[in-house]
Amino acid sequence: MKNYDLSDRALTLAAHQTAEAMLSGLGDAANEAPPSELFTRKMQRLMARERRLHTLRQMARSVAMLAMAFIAVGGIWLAVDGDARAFFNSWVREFYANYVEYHFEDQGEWPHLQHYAPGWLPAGYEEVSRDEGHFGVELRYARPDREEIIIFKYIVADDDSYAQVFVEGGEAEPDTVGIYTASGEILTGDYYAGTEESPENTLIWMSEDGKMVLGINSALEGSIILRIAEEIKAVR
Amino acid sequence: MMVYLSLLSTPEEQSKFAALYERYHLLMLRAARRLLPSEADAEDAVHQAFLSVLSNLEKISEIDCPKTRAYLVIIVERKAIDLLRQQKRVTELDDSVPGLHVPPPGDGGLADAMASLSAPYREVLLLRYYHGYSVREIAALLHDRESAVQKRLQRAKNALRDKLREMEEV
Repeated sequence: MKNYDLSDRALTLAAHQTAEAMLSGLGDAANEAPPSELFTRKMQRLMARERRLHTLRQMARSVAMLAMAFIAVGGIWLAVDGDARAFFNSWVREFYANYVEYHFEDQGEWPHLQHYAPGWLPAGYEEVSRDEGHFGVELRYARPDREEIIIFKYIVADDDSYAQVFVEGGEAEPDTVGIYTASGEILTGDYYAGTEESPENTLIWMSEDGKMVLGINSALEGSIILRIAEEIKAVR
Repeated sequence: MMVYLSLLSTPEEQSKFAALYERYHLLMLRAARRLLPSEADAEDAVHQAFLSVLSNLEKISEIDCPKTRAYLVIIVERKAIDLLRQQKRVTELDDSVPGLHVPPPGDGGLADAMASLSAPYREVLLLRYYHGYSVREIAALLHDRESAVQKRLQRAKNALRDKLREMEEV
């Protein structure tokens, strides 16, 4: 069999030529038809959010988490064209081809981070990491003899925060679930079921006062995730 | 499942992101439109690509340079192919997806062969040998496992050999 020169040097040279050809094949996009107003608004919102977050960060003088995202590999999001919205406990959901984005109503006051902790976890699970900022926290729990970890996050629900649930490669829609709290309230949450391929499930909901958004992500059963959510307690 | 947080940006990163958008959104739209029949899907792919760019903004050093241009095209091509896969309900990465048509550079050899590869192979080769990213960095950029990237790189090289052999036989 003939040996071809696939040395790093040869591949690097070929890659440079290929990249140039790829770009020249696209040509000058200056006259490309502009995008829709919807797209432009989405991008302007994204950039505006980055600017606002920067201002808050400067004021807070530390890295803060004002957004959280769960990427669920294993579900095709059944898209609704364009900008479909659903008002749900003071959050707004926008459905895109492969993700859902949640925005929250402006509370009109400086965001205050309420802390939470799980009141119950499956036997053997312990906290293994904590990532905390001024406006959000991520906690991870694991058990030495099990692969499934539990990720619990919460952030302030503010005009500058957002949550995203990406669903790729399968088929999924959120189910609305009731979360029965210790105080007797029933909160509603969006539950994204995993698939056989990607078994992680995601539950996202808002606090009783609507000022915080919380999320749990784990390959453990949905009933376990729901129980964890129901026994989340405010601390400090 | 991968979980990531979107962290606040520094002022430099914030202006870099806006500059990238101003400079390249039409180019990325052009690439997406060539792959996706629906305008809404094309815009979705570009939006997704910019979200991906945000999470890896530190990888971009210069706004106006061929490497940045190529990187953004690769990312939007990837997002467009992901959308196509979802719509066709393909759950495994189909390595034969052609992607963008790349005109042959004209060396009669390795570059022509690389340009003719399917998108998943071409993208890992470009990210590895044009941009110089490690397997780990490529995995992070593409939200893939390192083992999957390593495997795809090896398959890409095998595909190159097959292409070179075909070219010789013509």
